[in-house]
Amino acid sequence: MSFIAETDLQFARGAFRSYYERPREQIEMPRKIESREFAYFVFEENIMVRHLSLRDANSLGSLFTDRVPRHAYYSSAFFHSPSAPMERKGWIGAELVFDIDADHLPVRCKAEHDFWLCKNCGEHGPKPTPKGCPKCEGRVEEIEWLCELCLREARNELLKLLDFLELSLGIGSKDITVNFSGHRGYHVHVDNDHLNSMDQHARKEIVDYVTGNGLDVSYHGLYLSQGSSSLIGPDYSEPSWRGRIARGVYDLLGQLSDPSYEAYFSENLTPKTYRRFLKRQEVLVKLWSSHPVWGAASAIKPDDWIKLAQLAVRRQAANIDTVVTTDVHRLIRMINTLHGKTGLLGLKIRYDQVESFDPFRDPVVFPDRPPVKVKVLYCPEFRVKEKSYGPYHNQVVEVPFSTAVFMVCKGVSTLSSGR
Amino acid sequence: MAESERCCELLLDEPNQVVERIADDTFGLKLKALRHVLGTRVYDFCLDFSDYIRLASRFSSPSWKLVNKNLCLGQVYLLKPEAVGIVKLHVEENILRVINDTGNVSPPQFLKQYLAGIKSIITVKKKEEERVATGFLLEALPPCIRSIYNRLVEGESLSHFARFTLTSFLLNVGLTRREVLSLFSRLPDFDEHLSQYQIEHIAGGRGGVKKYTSPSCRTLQTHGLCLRTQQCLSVRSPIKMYYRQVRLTEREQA
Repeated sequence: MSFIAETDLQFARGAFRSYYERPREQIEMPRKIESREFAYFVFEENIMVRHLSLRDANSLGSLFTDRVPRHAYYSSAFFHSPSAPMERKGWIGAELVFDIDADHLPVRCKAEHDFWLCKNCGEHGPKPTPKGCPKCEGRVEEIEWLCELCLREARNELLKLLDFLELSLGIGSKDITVNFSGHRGYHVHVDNDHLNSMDQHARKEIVDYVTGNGLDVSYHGLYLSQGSSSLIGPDYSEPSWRGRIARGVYDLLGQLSDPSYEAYFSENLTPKTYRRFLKRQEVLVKLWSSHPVWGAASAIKPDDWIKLAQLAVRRQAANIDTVVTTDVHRLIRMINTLHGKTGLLGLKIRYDQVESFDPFRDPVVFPDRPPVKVKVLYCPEFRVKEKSYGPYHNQVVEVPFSTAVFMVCKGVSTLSSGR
Repeated sequence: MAESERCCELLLDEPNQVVERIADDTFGLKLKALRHVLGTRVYDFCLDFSDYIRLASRFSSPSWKLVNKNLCLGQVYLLKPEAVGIVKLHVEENILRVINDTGNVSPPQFLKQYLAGIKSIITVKKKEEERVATGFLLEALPPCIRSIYNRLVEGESLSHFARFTLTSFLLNVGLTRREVLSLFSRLPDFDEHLSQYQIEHIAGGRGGVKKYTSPSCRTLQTHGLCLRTQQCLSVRSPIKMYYRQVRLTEREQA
């Protein structure tokens, strides 16, 4: 993503610099700083500067005030020689990291708010992105927009993941750090000396566990009893995937007749299975209200229940970026640093405040004053703090400073000359 | 190994507390004996999940995957035969360590002829694979790679991991860097300089880095790229599947 004009780049860089120069602002100091690799992008070039090592908080602070990174990263891994080339770094271990990104979620709104934009005339449209602007042949760019629904879905995935980490893997909250990515998702870091030494294979097993990949419901208590055709299944209160499957099926039973889920069930169940459940939905919900009654309603075959359970697995799984967690050399955004695509802070979220976190309010760190006049090529509706803006198309608007930083970083607006 | 099998048989006859004690005293394995009822099952042991993953990774059956285990507060619940199976792996590891520490151990005379036979079979197989690696047969691509390839040809945007999978696969079955680069030029976000850099990195051409192997079926499953079909049978890597298909095609044409 690029800025529309050089003045926009300087505006955003100046805002970032003023933030990093505030004496009270604290960048989260990574544990074992001397064993980490650091990397960053500057505003002027789209090149990552990497293989850096820092000794302490002072050198970390100087990096931000001197270089003013557009994006800043550190390695989830610990190395003997973090500044050496990759093959000579000497891997010691790595935090277990998870990335939940709205990009990877099957949200329907994505097609509505991700768009291409002509940086010359403001023409825009949904994907697929043309090679050049169909109107003026100007340069077009893909814009990934942030929306309330996407980020709510991402938070739901985050809550599921935290449930897996705590209740299944037994990882204590003191070892878990959660932060907003600053753009369209959340990061979770597990820093525990015992787990840090896990290799790629072990991490793959954890990924498979939280995503339900390769899960066979018969190993979780759902099977036909020997000698009869009655179905035996897990209870709501049971731990691990067993309880998740039971609770997931109950949730699905409740949604069967909801018109907003019709397309979902049609896509994921065969028409016959869907019809059989739908016809008996009211009775089933009643029967299942206190505890699961697997195999209830003789017209519904055991295979149908198993299909519904498999669907429940997909629903209960945490939708994470599998590549990030299995990569033991990953560079990941530094916590409490600004995201160059939004100007929002990759804010550390207190564990007990994950549910109440507002990604359009809490990570906004710039002041509202002075107001700034910007020319918006195009942008859909969005919110900053409590106020909604847009949609705008080829118009000049005066917005609070914090909103202007967001719009300029997103590459949809340029400073208006009358500022 | 016979010794670990024997150990396994003996442990199955011991009380659970004894198995726990032997596992801890001899191997430092924190296997805990208990009685834990879940549904219709009664579990006899539990083990920390990180120890479990490390050891159970050597079993290929889906029943050993962590996702198919009852995992609660970091403990994997196990039936006695499963727990003893884990101890058996520890015994194997220890025996192998002792052998390695001893230094150069030569197999007994009567085994040597069998080993020579096995070695020659492996050599013939390797040569066969190298022979087919000189050509590229589009029809022999396994379903997972074919799907990524098709999406690329149609100019669809691909995830970083899908690009890595395709590139490492194609380089390993004999396509040149230039051929791979020309394929990627169909992508809407194609950046020649960046693509060239990445292809060279995967091919092992930068800074003396080794050539990357293509991801295994298991890895592709984890990342949601596996499209396992009947055709895949029990193959564990797309490369092996490709070579098998190439050989079949050659035989049909012969």
